[in-house]
Amino acid sequence: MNYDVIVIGATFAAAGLVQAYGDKCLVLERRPQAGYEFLNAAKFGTDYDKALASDEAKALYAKFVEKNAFDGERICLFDCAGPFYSLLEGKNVLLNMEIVSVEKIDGGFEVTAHGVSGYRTFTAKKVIDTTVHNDMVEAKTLNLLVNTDEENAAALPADLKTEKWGYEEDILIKCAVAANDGYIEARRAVAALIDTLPAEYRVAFVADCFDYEVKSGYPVEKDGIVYMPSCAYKNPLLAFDAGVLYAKGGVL
Amino acid sequence: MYISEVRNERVIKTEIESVVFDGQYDVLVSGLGTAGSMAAIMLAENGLKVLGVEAFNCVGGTATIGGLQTPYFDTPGGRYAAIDGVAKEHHRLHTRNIIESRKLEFERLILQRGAQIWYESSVLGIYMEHDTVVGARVITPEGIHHIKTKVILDATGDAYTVHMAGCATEYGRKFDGLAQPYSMVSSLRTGTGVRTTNCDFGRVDQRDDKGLSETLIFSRAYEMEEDRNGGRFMLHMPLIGIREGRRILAEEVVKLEDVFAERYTKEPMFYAYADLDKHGWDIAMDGTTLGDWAIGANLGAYNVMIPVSYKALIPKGVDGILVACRALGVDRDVATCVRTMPAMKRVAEAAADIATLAVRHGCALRDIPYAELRAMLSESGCLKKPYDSYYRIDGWKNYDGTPLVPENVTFMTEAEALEAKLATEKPGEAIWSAKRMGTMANETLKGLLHSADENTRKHAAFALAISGDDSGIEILRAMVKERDPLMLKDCRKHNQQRGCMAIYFLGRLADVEIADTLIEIFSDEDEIKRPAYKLAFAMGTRYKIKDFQNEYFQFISNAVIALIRIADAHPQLQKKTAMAFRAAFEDETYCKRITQRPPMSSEGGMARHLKKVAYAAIVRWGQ
Repeated sequence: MNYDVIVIGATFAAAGLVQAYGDKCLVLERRPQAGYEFLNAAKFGTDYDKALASDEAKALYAKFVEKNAFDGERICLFDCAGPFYSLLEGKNVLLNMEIVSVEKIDGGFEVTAHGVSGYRTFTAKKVIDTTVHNDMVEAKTLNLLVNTDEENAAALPADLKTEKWGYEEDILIKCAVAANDGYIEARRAVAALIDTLPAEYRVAFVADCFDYEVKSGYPVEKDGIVYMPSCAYKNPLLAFDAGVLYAKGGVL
Repeated sequence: MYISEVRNERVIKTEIESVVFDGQYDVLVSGLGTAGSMAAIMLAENGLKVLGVEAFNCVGGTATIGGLQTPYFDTPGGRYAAIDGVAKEHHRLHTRNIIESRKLEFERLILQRGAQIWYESSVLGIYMEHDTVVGARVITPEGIHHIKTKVILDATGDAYTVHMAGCATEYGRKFDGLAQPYSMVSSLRTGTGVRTTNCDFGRVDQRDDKGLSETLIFSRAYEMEEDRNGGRFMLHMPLIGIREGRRILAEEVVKLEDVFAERYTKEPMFYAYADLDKHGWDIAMDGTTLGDWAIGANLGAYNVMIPVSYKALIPKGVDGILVACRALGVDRDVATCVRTMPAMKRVAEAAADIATLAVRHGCALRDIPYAELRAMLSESGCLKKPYDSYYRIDGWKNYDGTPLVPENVTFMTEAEALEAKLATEKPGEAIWSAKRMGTMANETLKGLLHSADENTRKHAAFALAISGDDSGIEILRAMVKERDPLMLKDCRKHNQQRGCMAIYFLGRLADVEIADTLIEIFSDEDEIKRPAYKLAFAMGTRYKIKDFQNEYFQFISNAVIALIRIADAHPQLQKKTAMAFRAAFEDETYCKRITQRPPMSSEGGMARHLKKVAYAAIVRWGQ
């Protein structure tokens, strides 16, 4: 199958890219999810006062507002999943596709992926990778939401990095792990952290995706592949906007 | 040696000179979901060197990222109870939702027992010598590895790995190849608490990468009202709840007709226990073995206990690989009972013990000493019969919301005993008893056709029809013509209206005379105004689906299937039936009478599927 553009990762940036590129673009994603770098990382973003350039991103912002994402003092994006996934309906998006290889060929790239139907090979003039790779990572955390029913609950340990995002009952704890750590090490760290919480606190949710802080210098083009890690943007709307703008103008 | 892979949906076997293995294990567990995570723990406890390969980044599958908190019809016995207990205790102390505890604790136990986990990794190919699996090609975030292993345990849920090795599999129901609807679990917040939903969202063939992707996207984009009741939406679970996948052609296959005939395996590994849980509303298309039970006798929600042979885990013709998931060797009807989480955890234990015995004895999986396996599974309680009776009424609430008191069911063996039950609005056990008696009860039942009691008369007609006797055909026709609205009350859910049951039996009896009435049911636009479709809760009060005319759908779906059966038996009806199908279904306005839900939704899909079924018959008839 031939496409003009293959986008790796069904991220917010990828959603922006595929909105603008349309049918000539294929998105390949190894997870069964999309938009996970924000929605499933419990990474709700900052800098929402920064202006969005594309009409598509402005329309998505309006849907986020409808979903009460910015209602009150806290930002909560959980209920924005529906409008986000709607953007991918009818687009060329394949989830559960493991990228096996990306090879340079005459006139572009050959991408081999493996999914529930076995190996598939696609070609494209351009490849844009919106996922994060270990060498891009400055720092990362695995986030969890905790809460308590006790009005006079003990304070959380002072060394925990906590923030007030998500639902008002919750405290978001960012459990820091080393840049090269995988999910096993991260989950062991979360388990150890949970053991230190005062007994009256309960875990409501542990993210299933890392919250990444990406080194500066992205997006960048290297060996013909554009690296545009979606999680490098301050919030998902900016990532989406960047995808739309790049697809329309080709400027990083 | 050769490598077996899947390319563009086809299994390709390629000869190779040799391969340099960079890892060696006794057992590679492909998929660390509900069963795979349990199996990895148990295999390591058995002293084997184990590698678990998981596509996602945590263990537990349906029990964690699929969002299922509570097992369906849990019964005691087996090693899984102690493992579950660890997660339960963690949940009691630390979490709002047991899902998070399972992720943390099952992973900890796997590692603590000495097994290795590779997350975000998948099996790409199987190395084989002749018909024996000797290794696997595995992709990880760090690159590709070539793993030598004595046994691969396929716990993918869909027999991906077994299929990759070239083993034969089946999929879907016989009539149209469809699997049960999938559900999508969402996590909702209720104050500080967390609850999960579990709504049917549609159908998917998860072997098709494009269809699966479209389904995953649709299920998250479609904000179904029922999925958001009772809390604030937090997140969609990463896995959708796929209930049915590939089933291997195993050394021994468990079939529902054998279960009903009490032809049970002599080498069981555990007893599955649940109802034959169909989920789809299009029960009319589930075939006659299940149809007699669920429609004809209205026993669809009765629980069945099914002994499952250990050989159901071993694919035919290939050694070194077995399944530990719902892909085991059962027919599609039995699969609806055997797919529960408790069953899968027992499958995991049996698979782990089979693999252990094969490694210890250095023998083929099919040649392990069953006596040793039986002893292991008996000691743990895995093989313990949960109940004395093979049939039970079980659950929490009756169809009307009143508390349900579980009880064993004993079917009648004397014809004279049938009348008392047939006279009630719970005649199901008597109808099924009549089927079990064969023709022995027919003379008694024929006498009951003249009873002054309406229930006795009508239900005796059902009891005769289920054995193929058409003596009560006039009564059946009358029930269809009046669209007999009475909903029987045998079950806690999925109860049938009498008019529908009569349609089903007239189809089974291939009754030509009812054809015009059946055509009227699906053709007449005013049909939906009849009182039979105004009950609002024909299938039971607890299973009301908004914007879906379920009673109407039951009548027209049964009418279509009955008419196809009649026209199959009487070819002279095929032209007329084809014309009626075209007139009724061509423009799809009939769908709007059934549901306003989108085409990819469970109900929207089922409404549209009626046209496909009708048109497939037209093509088959050459009309």
